[in-house]
Amino acid sequence: MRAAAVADAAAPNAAVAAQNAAVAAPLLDVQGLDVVFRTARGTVAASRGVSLALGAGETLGLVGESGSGKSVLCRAVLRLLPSPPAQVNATRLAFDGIDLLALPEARMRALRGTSIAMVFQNPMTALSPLWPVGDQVTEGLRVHRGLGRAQAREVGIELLRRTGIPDPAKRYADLPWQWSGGMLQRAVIAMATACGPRLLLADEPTTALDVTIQAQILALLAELQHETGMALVLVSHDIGVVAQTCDRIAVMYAGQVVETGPTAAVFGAPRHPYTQGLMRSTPRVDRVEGRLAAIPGQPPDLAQPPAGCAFAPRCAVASDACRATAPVLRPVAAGHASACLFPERLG
Amino acid sequence: MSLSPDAPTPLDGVAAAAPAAWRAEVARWTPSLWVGAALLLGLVLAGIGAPWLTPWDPLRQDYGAALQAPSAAHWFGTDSLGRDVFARALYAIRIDLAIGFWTTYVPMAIGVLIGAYAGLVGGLFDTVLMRVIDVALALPFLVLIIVILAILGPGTRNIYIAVFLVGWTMYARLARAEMLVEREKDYLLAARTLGYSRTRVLLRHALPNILNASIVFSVSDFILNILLVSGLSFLGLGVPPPTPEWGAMVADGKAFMQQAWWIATLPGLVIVLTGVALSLIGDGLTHRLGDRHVTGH
Amino acid sequence: MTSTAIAPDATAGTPDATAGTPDGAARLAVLDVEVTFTAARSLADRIARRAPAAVRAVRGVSLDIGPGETVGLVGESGSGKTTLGRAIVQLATPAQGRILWRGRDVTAPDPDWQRRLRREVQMVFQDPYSSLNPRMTVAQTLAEVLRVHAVVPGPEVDAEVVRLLARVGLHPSLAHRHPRALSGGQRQRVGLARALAVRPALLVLDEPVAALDVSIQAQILNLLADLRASLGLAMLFVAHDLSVVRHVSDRIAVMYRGRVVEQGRADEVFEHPAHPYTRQLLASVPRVEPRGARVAPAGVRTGLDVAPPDSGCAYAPRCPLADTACGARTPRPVALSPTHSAACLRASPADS
Repeated sequence: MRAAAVADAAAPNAAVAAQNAAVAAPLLDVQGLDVVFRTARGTVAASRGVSLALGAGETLGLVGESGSGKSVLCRAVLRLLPSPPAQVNATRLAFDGIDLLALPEARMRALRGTSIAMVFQNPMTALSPLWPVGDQVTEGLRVHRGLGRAQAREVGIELLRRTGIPDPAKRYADLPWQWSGGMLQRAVIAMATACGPRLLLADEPTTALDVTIQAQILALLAELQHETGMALVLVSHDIGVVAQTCDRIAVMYAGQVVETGPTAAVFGAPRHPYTQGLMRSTPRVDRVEGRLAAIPGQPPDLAQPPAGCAFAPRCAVASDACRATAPVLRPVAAGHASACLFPERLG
Repeated sequence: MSLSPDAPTPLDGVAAAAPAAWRAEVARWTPSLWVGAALLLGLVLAGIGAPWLTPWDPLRQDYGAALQAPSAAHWFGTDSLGRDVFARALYAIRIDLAIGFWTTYVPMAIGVLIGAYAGLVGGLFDTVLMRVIDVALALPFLVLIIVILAILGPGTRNIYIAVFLVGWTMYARLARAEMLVEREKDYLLAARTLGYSRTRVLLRHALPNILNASIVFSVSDFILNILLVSGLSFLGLGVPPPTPEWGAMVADGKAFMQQAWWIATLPGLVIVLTGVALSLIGDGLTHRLGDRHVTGH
Repeated sequence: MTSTAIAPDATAGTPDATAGTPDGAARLAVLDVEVTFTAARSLADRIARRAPAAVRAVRGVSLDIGPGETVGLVGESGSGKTTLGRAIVQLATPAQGRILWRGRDVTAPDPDWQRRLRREVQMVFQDPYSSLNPRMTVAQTLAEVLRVHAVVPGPEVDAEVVRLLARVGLHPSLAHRHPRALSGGQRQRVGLARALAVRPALLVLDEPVAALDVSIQAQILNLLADLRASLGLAMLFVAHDLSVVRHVSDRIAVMYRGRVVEQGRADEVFEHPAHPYTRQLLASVPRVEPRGARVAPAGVRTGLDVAPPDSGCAYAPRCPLADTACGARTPRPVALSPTHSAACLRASPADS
C-alpha cells in the first residue's frame, strides 16, 4: 500500500517530485483561487484570491473560523462545489502538474479517491447506514482498481487493521451504527487511503470527536502519512490541532490566507494581528490567565467584503491605510508571509 | 459596544416592524404561490359576486329551456330542468369552498392541538391516542365517512360531523411527529426551565413552530375534501338537491353525457380549476415554509 | 457518598440539611444522584407491567456549589455531564439521590417553591441556533420572561429589556430581530440575557461556548467573568473543553461514564491530576506550542470503544495502571487533600 506503488500513470516521476517538491513542482499548486456563490440574496465571495502550494509528503494546516473559506478550498480542489451556485476561478489550480479546472469530469472522477482523497468532519454521516462498513471501505478498490469482492475483503481487513480497528475480520460486515464515532472515523480514513492517495484533504476530521479520540485520530493520520508519504491538508478551527500535527500553517480569514509559514514561525512569532488574536483568545489548559484577549466584533459579511483589509474593523493596530488598501501576502521571513500592511506594528 | 444601561431607550413595540415584515413575507412568495392565490381569490370573489355576474337564478327551473347547449345567453348551457349551469356552478362555489374550508380547518385545529399535546406530554395519553389513530387510519377514509353518514343520514350538517369525527387523525399524527422532534430543541427546554406553564409552552412556543407541515398538508386535504363532498353528493349522500353543488351537478349530468356533455363537464372543469389553484398554493407554501432552515442558516 | 471530602461547608452535605429552611445559603448540593433513562414503554409493556430497558446516565454523583462559586463539570460524550446539569434544573428526574437548593429538595411539589426555584436557578443552553424560539423576536423572548415572573412592573418591561441587552453587550437596535438575523455569538448573548432576566443566583451552563468560533468564544467567556463579578452568580459550567473549563472554574469535577472520577480545586486537578483518566484527558489536549517531539498518546491503535464492564472501575479497560482489583470493585472517592479527591484504587495522597 505504499504511495509510490499505487501512484497512477499520470505521475511517473512522483519520487523525483517528492524530493524537491516544494521548490520545483508542488504537488498541489493553487494560485489566485476565487470562489463565489451566487444566491438570491446576492453574491458571496467565499474564497478571494487564495494561493498556496504543497509539496509531496508535506503537511499543511489550514486554520480559521467558520466562514473563513477553509472547507470551500478543499472542495474546490476536488471540484465538489455544486455549480450553480458556486463559481470557481483560479489563475492556476493544479495537482501534480494536471490542470484541475480543465480536466474532464470523467478524469476528475478517476483522480478523486485514487490520487486525492478527502475525510469529512462527521464520521456518523460519512458512511451510508445501509451497507456494511467493510464494503464501503473497499468500494474504491473495487471501482478504481477492479478488485473482486474476495480480494477487496482481504485488502479491506488489512486497511482496517492498519487504522487500528481491533479484530477487523470479525467487524468487516458490521453496519455503521454498530461502531462508535472514533471507530467510524478510522473506517473513513481507511476508505480514503485505500487507493494510496498522494494527497489527503482532512476537513475538521476530529471536530466531532472526544478529545482522547481526537488525539488517537491525529496520531493515526501522522502515522499513515509517515508510512505512505502522502501529503496532508488538515483543516481545523483549533490552532492546537494544527500546531501539533502540521509542518506548515496557513491561517485563513474572510476567504483569504492572511498568514502562512512554518508552524514554529507562525505560532511562535505571528506576523498577522488575526493570528495573534486567535492565539490570545484561546484559553490554555496548561496555565491560568486573567482575562482573555478576545477579538472584538465579528467577521465581515462576505456578501459585502470590505474594501481594505478584511480584518481592519476588528484590528487594534489598524490605520486608515488598512481600511483603504487590501493587503497581499508579503514575505516577512524565510518561508513566512503575512497579509498585513504593518507587520512590524505587532508586539 | 459602548452602551449606556442608565439611559434606556423605550422599545417602540412590534407595530413599527409589522409592515416591513409583511413586505418581506410577500417578497418570498414564489410564482406558483402568486398564481394559486390569485386563482383562489378569483374563485372566492366569483362566489361572493355571483348575483352580479349572472342574471340567472340557480334554482329556477324552465322546462322550455332544458338541455340547451352553451350559448351567449347560457355560457355553460342548461341542465335537464332548464337551470343555467353557469349560475349553478357559480353559486356552488359558496357551498363547496365553505365545505372544503370547514372540513379541512376544523379537523386541523382539533388534530394539531391533540397531536401536539400528546407529543409534548407523552405517556399513557400519547400511547392510547396513537392506537386510536392507527385504527382510524387503517380503515379507508371514504368508507368510514359513508358508514357514519349511513347512521346519521345525508345532509350538509352530517357531512361536517362525519369529517370532523375522522379528519383530525391525520393532523394529530403529523403534529405529534413534528412535536417529538421539536420537543428536544433547546428553546422548548428553556421555556420549561423558565417555569412557563404547559399551556404556554404548547400554544405560544411549540405550536407556531410545528404548524408548517400541517399547513402544507391542509392544502391538499382541502382539495380532497371538496372531491369527497362532490363524491358523496354524486352518491346521493351529500348536499341534497336542489342546492347547487359541483359533485351533485356532475352526477346529474352523467345521465345526459350523450346529448348534453356540458352539464357534467363544465362544472367538472371548475372543480379541476379549484384543485389547480390549491395545488399551486400548496406547492408554493412547501417552498415558502420549507425554506426556514435556509434562512436560518 | 453523601459527604465526600469535597464539601467545604459540611452542613450542606449532611442529610439533616434536607429539612432546612428554604432561606438557607444559596448553595446547591447534589447528593448521590442517579439518573436513569428508560426507553418508551409500549402499550404491551404497560399491560404486561414489564419494566422498560434502562440506561444509567448518571450513577451516584455528589457535588456541591457554594454561593458565587463556579464549578466546572468536564467529561467526554456519554459521561453524563449534561444529564446531571439537566437534573439540576429539573429537565431530568433523579431515580435516586437528592438535589438540594438552599437546603431544600428541588423536586418538592410546592408551587411557591417551584416558582422560586425557576427564578433562582437558570440554565443556558449549548446550541445558539435552537435555544431561541425562531418565531419570537429578542424583545418578545425577554419580555415574556419578565412578564410571566413579574420581575418588574408591566410599564417597566421595555426598559428592563434594554437593560438586559446592555448587560450582555447587545445594542438595543437588535431587540426587534428574530434569531435567524443574529450571529451565533449574539444568539448566545440573548440566551444568557433570558436566563439573567429572572435575576438568578445559580446558572447552569451546558456547553455555552462549544458551538462558537474561538474569537467569539473568548468574548462570551469574558462576559461570563464580568457577570460573575458584578452579580455574584454561582455557576455550574458543563463542558468538554478542558482549556475553557480551567479558564472559568474555581473547582472542577471530572466525569467518566456517569461517575465523578476526580474533583478538586482547578489548580489541584490540572497541576496534580490523580485519576488516570484525568491524566489522559489532559495529555490529549493539543497544545499550541511549536511542537518538539510528537507525543503519541497511549492507545493509538488499541483501547478503542471498550464496552463498560459490569463491575469494577468503568475506566479499567482503558487504564494503563489497571490490575485485577480494578475489575473487581468500584472505587470510591479517596480524599487526597481537604479539597481534592479521586475515585481510583491506585490514587493516593502521595500521588499528588
